[in-house]
Amino acid sequence: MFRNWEDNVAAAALAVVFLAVSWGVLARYVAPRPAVWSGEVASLGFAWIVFVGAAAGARQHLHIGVDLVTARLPGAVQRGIACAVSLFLALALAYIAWLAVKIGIQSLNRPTPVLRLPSSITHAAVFVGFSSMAVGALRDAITLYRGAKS
Amino acid sequence: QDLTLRVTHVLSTTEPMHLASERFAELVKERSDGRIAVEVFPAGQLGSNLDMYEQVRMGAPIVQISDPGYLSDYVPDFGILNAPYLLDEAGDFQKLLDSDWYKGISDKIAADHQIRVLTLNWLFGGRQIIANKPVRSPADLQNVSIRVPPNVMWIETFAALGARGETLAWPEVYSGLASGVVDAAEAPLSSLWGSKLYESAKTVSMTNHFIAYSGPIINESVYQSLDPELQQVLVTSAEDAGKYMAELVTQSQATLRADLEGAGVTFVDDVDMGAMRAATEVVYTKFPDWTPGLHDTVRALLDN
Amino acid sequence: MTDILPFLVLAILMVLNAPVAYCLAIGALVFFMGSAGVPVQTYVQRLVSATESFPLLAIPFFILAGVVMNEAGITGRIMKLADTMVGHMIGGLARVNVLLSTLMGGMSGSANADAAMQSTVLVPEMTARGYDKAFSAAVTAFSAIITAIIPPSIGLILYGFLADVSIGRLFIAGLVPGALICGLLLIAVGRISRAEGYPPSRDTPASWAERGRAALDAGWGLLIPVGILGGIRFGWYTPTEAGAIAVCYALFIGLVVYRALPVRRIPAMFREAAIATAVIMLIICAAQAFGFFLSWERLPGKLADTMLVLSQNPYVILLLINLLLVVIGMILEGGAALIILTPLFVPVITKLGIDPVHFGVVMVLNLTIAGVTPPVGTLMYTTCSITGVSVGDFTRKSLSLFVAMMISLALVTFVPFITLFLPNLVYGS
Ligand code: NA
Ligand code: NA
Repeated sequence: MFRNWEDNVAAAALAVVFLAVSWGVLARYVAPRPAVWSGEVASLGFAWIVFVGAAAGARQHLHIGVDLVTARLPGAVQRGIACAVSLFLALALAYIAWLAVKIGIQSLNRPTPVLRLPSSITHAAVFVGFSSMAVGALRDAITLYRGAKS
Repeated sequence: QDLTLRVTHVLSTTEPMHLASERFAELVKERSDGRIAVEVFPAGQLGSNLDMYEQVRMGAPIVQISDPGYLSDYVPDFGILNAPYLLDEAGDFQKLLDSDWYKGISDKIAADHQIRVLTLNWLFGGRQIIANKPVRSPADLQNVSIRVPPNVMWIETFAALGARGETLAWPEVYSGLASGVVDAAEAPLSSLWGSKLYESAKTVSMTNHFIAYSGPIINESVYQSLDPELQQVLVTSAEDAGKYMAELVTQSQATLRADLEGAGVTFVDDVDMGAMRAATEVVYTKFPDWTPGLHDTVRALLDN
Repeated sequence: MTDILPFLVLAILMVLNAPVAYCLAIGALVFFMGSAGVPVQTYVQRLVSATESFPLLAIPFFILAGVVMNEAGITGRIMKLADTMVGHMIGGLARVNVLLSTLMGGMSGSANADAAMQSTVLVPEMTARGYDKAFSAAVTAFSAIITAIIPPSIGLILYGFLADVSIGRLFIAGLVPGALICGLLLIAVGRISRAEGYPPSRDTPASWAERGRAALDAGWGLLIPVGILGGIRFGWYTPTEAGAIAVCYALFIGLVVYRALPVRRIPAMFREAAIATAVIMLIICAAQAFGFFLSWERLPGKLADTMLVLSQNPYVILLLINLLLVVIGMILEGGAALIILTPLFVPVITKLGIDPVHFGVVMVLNLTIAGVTPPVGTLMYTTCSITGVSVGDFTRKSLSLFVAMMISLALVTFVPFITLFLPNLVYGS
């Protein structure tokens, strides 16, 4: 449950989006008033699917790169480059996570158009997702460094 | 050259708002002797309305054409400028812009939220209902499902009129109306024409439920970094471009109507404005954040 | 220098084999950290903007629908039916792959969703029957292009909105080009299958009685496209909502009708679909942020201006625009490129007397093809990430399919009759 928490959070967000949109359709026929909130809930949930799900994907190394050049280099050089790149990515991703905090705080008083919730709900998804991706990249860098030493 | 400003809006290059934005750019360049350069980015090239408003608020050197509805997220009283059946005729809006009340709310949003409203006199046009049947009174809207933007003012207004407001995304409106997900949509004539909604619905009722105004906003710190002379150039250029837009919109109504009629659209002019206004009166009580007595204040200014 | 730096960072990171989504995201970040005066934290806003697009929600829904149909035993039954129909032909399943995308084109507006679904559904089946996995992935990605051209099409709706062109006309204009691409891809796939010796999946053609039984057995699944198309047609739901309805329907069949779907499997299906969606969407989000940098510097506009200086001949300009789109499509996500470039090109082509309906199909087709060309191609990443095929292998196996697409693009570009005769027939010219 907690070990791969990103998977579960992203799946829960998908369930929320699915239920919101389905209810939006159903409400058109059975409810006294249309579910005007469903599009907004779907949009907020979508951000959580994407950014937290991306972190889950990163854990499983599903984000594809272009290996046309590096694949031609000697193994040791490949590992060295991969280690340096992972370290750089960890820094850049952590910086993006911090920017999400910054804009999230500035958007706390900005309400969403229909439900009047703080817009920062979306930025929080970026913070959670990119923090996790940064930690993952750092973990990769350490693993590669240890592997090169031994 | 002191500054490059990027003017952004989400409409196409044939709309009056784009022509007014270009006029604004020319006027600013001319009157500032080239010290301020202005470039126009139409059709949401830099992002959606909401995103660009936020860019302005956070300090980007952008001028975005904003409507009062967005400003009401920060200073709720702006919302009443967008309320249904507020104006008897479009020209009355100037009375509000000239008032101390308006100066008060614009100063407040500049001081507290970093948004400088240059003016709000850019007439976007009266919003009309397109459907496959005439809408003459609230009775014609009972349980009619109509597409509304995801915005509380619209939702409350059409709820008050007895309709079912569906918040479809704008890109889905065309197919939504064509297939019957919604029975009706509402927009100014220029957008009804531009988005080809008349291909699926053939009756436009001149309900004029909102008479929409908008205007350019800029970040307050960016504005204050200019010397007073250049600030004045921005404000007067914005006002003059707005007058130009109002002329364009007023002139284009007849042409648009002829174009729409040419495409097989029937117009309904005998809308019972009294009944529509009475039904939407309740909307003015739905915003607890408004200053108490706001409606009376604004009515007094208008009826004066 | 500020014009170049984001490109430079993007290129270096890409050469060093960093994930493409990160390359685009960090390239865009460099622009926001630069001196343009844009507050750096608004970068996050550009990153999330694609998740605010309601039509893009079709992606998770159709991915989820695919996962559910797999687990519910629906896909297997449709596969059996297809096998009785064309299984005896050489490269039978590859042909099914192309035909299925053409049929799916009638119910889905998203090429990505189609590619994702068939990557989960068809590619494992093809691999099991001896097809090269990279070839199967390539056929899936290339045939998904048909889905984006046959209506309903998110790309054509977007173009019609931006270019102020009748969406009804655009939709009808997409039908013949869609069929044309289907035909050319079938020919290409048939030739490759003969050369590689991909076997028929059965020794003799099935009897009509056997085909009838298979069709009845797959009946509930075959009703899905009918339900989707019918529901959209009669206005019960929008094309995006149809995705959610397809999931509901597939869950119903799996849980109630076939009783093949254990309830405890549902969380795992949601996990799988959410992660597959995220991997695709992260690239689209990052491309959107990078697109802000391009728009801000007016780079696409500068390119367009240069082009009009080069020539005033419509055919030369169409050729130039196509070449430019192919290049831009390599480094930019197709949807983002469409949003940025449509308002710039349409005034140019109308000045030269080119029909904007014709141009719309050309542009959407070109930028959808961009989805299968490296280094940046959303369709390619969708299929590669789901099937686990490397981009290098994918590219090597897609050469002759690419030739077929280029022939289609050339025909659609230089023979306006292909796109225009149907809409002119229906609406008058
Ligand atoms: Na396919
Ligand atoms: Na590409």
